[in-house]
Amino acid sequence: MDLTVRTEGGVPVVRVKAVALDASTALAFKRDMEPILAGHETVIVDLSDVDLMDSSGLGALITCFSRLKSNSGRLCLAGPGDSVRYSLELARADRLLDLFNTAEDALAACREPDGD
Amino acid sequence: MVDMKDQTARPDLRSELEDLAAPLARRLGLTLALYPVDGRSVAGQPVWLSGPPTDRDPDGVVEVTSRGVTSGQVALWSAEGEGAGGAVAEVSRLIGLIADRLRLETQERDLLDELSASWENLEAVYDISSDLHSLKGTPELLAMIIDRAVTADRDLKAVMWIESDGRLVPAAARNASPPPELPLTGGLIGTAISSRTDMVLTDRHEIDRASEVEPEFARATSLAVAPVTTSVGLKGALSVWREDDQTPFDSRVIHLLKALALQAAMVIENDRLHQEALENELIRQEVEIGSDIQQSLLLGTPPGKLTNMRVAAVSLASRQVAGDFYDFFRHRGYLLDVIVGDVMGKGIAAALLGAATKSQFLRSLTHLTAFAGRIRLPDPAAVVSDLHAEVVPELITLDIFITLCYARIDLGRRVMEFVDCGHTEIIHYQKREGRCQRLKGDNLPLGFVAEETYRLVTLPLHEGDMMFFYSDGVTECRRPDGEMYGIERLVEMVEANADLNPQAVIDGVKSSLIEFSGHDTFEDDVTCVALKIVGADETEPPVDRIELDFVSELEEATAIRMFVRSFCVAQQGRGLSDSALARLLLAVHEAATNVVKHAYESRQGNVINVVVEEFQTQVNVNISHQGRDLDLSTVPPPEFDGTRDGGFGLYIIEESVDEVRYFDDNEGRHCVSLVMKKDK
Repeated sequence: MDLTVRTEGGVPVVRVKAVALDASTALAFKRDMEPILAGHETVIVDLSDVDLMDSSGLGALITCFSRLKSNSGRLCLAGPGDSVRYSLELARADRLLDLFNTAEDALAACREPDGD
Repeated sequence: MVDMKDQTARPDLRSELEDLAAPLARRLGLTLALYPVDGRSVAGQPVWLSGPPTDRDPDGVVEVTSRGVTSGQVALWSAEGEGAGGAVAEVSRLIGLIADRLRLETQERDLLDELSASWENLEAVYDISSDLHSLKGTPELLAMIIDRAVTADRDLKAVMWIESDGRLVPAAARNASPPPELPLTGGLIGTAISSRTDMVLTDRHEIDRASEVEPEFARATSLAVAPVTTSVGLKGALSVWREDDQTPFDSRVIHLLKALALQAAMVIENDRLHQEALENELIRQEVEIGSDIQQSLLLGTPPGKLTNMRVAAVSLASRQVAGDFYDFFRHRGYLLDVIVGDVMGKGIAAALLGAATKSQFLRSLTHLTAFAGRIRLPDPAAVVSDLHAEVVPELITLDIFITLCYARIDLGRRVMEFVDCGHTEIIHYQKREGRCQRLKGDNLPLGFVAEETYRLVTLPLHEGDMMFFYSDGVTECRRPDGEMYGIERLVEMVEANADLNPQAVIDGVKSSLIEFSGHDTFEDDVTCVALKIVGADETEPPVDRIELDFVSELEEATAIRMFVRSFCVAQQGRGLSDSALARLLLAVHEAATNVVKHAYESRQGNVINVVVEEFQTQVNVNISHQGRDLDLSTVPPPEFDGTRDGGFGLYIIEESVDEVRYFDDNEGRHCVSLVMKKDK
């Protein structure tokens, strides 16, 4: 499990390089996300490479979401595949997290000024 | 309309005599005079039609009668000194012929009048008949009928009397203020009704006598009463009278009045039947509403998507609303609570108490679930204790008690736990023994005592077992000879149908009860809940099968998933759609992860055995281990609001595949079986 990060306009886009975000990779994911979450309000996680996300992976994402939310931040997910999307819908996480088809869409949405 | 006054159209005796008899009389030198007659005596001066007036005795007299009444006398005198001779006889004969002709013409006219009156009656009756079928109300119809009666003369007075509660009341009136009621017998109208005779009074004395009982006739100069009795015996009368001195009523009036009176009586009879039907309809609606309340408030819905359980329920309402209730709580696909209860007593009060108790269950469950620090499902005894605290003080005050049975079917642990508060026994069909046992707890009905300790009874469950809950309306159902259906018959029915699905078992019991009692409605509510433990169909061998052992490590979850995937994508996808396969693989991944993390607690050196099988209608994945058996009831449910990051695993498994079973296999290994049905 590897994370590659690029920052655009102050917003980090984290690409998850792992076949599965599951029990075997969730811990490492959480550990590696920690510094990124600490330093930013809005974070985009790109899941284009992830084939499957199980309950452990979900849990890890929820942990990140809670972390950002407590600082009034925002977690965006980009490029979820069919299986990942299904897992998110089952857990109703698609209501909590913002989903976008591509990282670019997510960036565009994040650059918009916040409403009142 | 019959015109009872008009006489001008009628041929006049006098003018006929003047035209026909007088010229002949003059030629013959006879003297003719017409004397008007009133009653039986000559009244008034004669009319001299021919010849000089004379006071000699007449040589001939011809009486002219009309309708049986003498209307005139014609006197003839021959010329002075000739005496009654041929001329007098001839002219007498002529006058006789004229009188006959007049009589015939009058009769003919009378008949025509009668006929036209009949037509008018028919017309009146027809008009009103067609209105009976319209949407006009009873008062309007009666008004129309009475208007018909008085159309001839705006000053005519009319009252329609109808029998009600042993006396006569005025149903409609025109130009009159009748008294509020009259006796049914005695008095003119009562007499007309009881003797079934039409009455026409024109005599002042008779009218005075009548008005002693019926004061509205006090100023009548002529009066007609037409009584009527309808086919169902409803009595009534239409009375019509005038207070001026016009021509008195005759038979034509009576015919019309009779027709109208009958119409009016029928209208009123119709109205009464309608009222009765309306009342019955209201009662029927009330019973229906009561039964709707019963269905929606008292009876829960048996859950569908259960893992390895099938549930069916029915409650047949008795003739009155009563207090049987049942409800279901599905905690997990394999974890189901069943509550059946019976409020002693009938009627809306019992039904409301039943509904309140049923809803209190959910509150107690929720309250206890939230209260525990570590979220854990409260056991049935704890729930009933909480319910007792909320409900029993009220029951004691109201002096009502409730029997109930609260059962929990846990297929994770493969047990049933229940609390029985004075309810009927649970019939438990044991597949392995091939027969039923009857289960009882020893708690008292709710409302008997203020303090009670609730005891949990636990027993193991096996595939093919069936639970049958019922209300005493079933066992206490009676045959015409008084014998009760009884528990033995019910047990026989369950045993006989034990291989069928629960709905079929319930249908069988229902038919048996209807046949036994001879009715399809019952004295007391008949309530049944049937629950069967089912499993994947293991009797047919798999079409294809692979098996492999894996090392228990988190990273192996992906390997296991790939292993299952490789089997499933062969043979044109094994009948699973892409999305079905994706969901199955997710469930496999989760289940394998659970075994590593929880069953083996992430210890090294353990084995996970995976078997994948394709059957005719489904694909099975079996994951077995020899680690710790998972106590699934202690796993908390997921939270969807982002406040907890755990608890999704079991939820994902259950929601992704069609069936999940937890069991031990023949070698003592703990197994999780995931079933995905093929696409049709």
